[in-house]
Amino acid sequence: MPESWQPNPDLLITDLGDELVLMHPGRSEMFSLSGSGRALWDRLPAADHELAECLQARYGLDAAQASADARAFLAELSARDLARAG
Amino acid sequence: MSGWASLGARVEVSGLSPAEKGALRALWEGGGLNPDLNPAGVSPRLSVSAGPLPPTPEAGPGATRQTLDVMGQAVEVWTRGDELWLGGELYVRVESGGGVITAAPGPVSPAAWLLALTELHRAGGWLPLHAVVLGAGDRAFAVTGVSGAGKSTLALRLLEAGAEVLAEDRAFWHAPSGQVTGLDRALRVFDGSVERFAPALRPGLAGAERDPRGKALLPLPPGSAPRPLVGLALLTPTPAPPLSGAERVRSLWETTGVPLTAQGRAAAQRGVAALAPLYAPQPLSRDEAPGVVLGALGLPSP
Repeated sequence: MPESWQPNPDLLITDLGDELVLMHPGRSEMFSLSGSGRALWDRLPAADHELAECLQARYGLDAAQASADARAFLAELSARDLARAG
Repeated sequence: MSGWASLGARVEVSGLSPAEKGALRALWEGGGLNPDLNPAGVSPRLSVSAGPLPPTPEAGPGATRQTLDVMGQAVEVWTRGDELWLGGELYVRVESGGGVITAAPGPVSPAAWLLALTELHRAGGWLPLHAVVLGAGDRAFAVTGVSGAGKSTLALRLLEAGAEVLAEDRAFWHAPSGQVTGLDRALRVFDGSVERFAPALRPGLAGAERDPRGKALLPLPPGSAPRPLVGLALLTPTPAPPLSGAERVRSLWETTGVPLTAQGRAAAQRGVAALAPLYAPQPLSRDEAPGVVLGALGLPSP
């Protein structure tokens, strides 16, 4: 069973239309998402392979590149405690 | 049981001491609600009573514990979904159409009441703003900034120029309608600021109540009606570069404070997103602010 990634429920999320701004209240850190990052965030909760499929379908990436990009995106979210696997 | 209105919500209080009831009402009554905001005539109901608090939740998924610094006091806050436990003094639950507060026997700190009422109003669509709000006619303009930035002095200068002060610090923006009001009873100012920026108010200094820092409390007209907020700006002591989109969002969250409950968070997120377009990217210096605000309110610069 692949892990499902979910947004940290404590985030303060501000939708500016063309930009989604995430604020971690505990760390007071800001993180902006637009373009492909926004598209992936909007798919959460999702497994990493589902995000890779989103990148393939939306941006025409090959499977290996899409998988690598999805993993890198999730690794950054996880490092900032913006999303959690479980 | 007695009832009164706070930001359009019906507050019904039972079981508290007369002193506690009076203090709560003095701080939270008012703000009115323009009937146009509430055409269906349905008012949220906030029920306040005394009694034993439900047990605090076990730590774990879905329940969090944090310590907040409120009014210089550390308050331990437990949160579970739409429920709050505040320092062992209050239990708060956001409900559809309002909310309930249960007060434990004994005195309740002003900080706990502040957190409780603010959160219930936040969940009801009122975004709290740590800002001074000026008004004229059917327009209002809010100015935020850190303590000491000069918000009260700006309010004095604009009072002298013909604007109304709707709020000195405790402003609330009704996100669904875009209207703003305030719950401050007084403008806190140093005598020297009045002498320099608003000499017409000098007679009010004699006999005025004083805060612990010696500032005079000049009464504000009670019950300012909500009116449309046409803009919001950041006041800085000296000229500053424009704010990026993310910096404006951070500043807005600092101005409104962190929501505590699930419904409060959802309402505040919608509110901050709706307020962001009104937030001027360019901060205002103390010298620039009076002219910009007067222009936004349609008043002539002196």
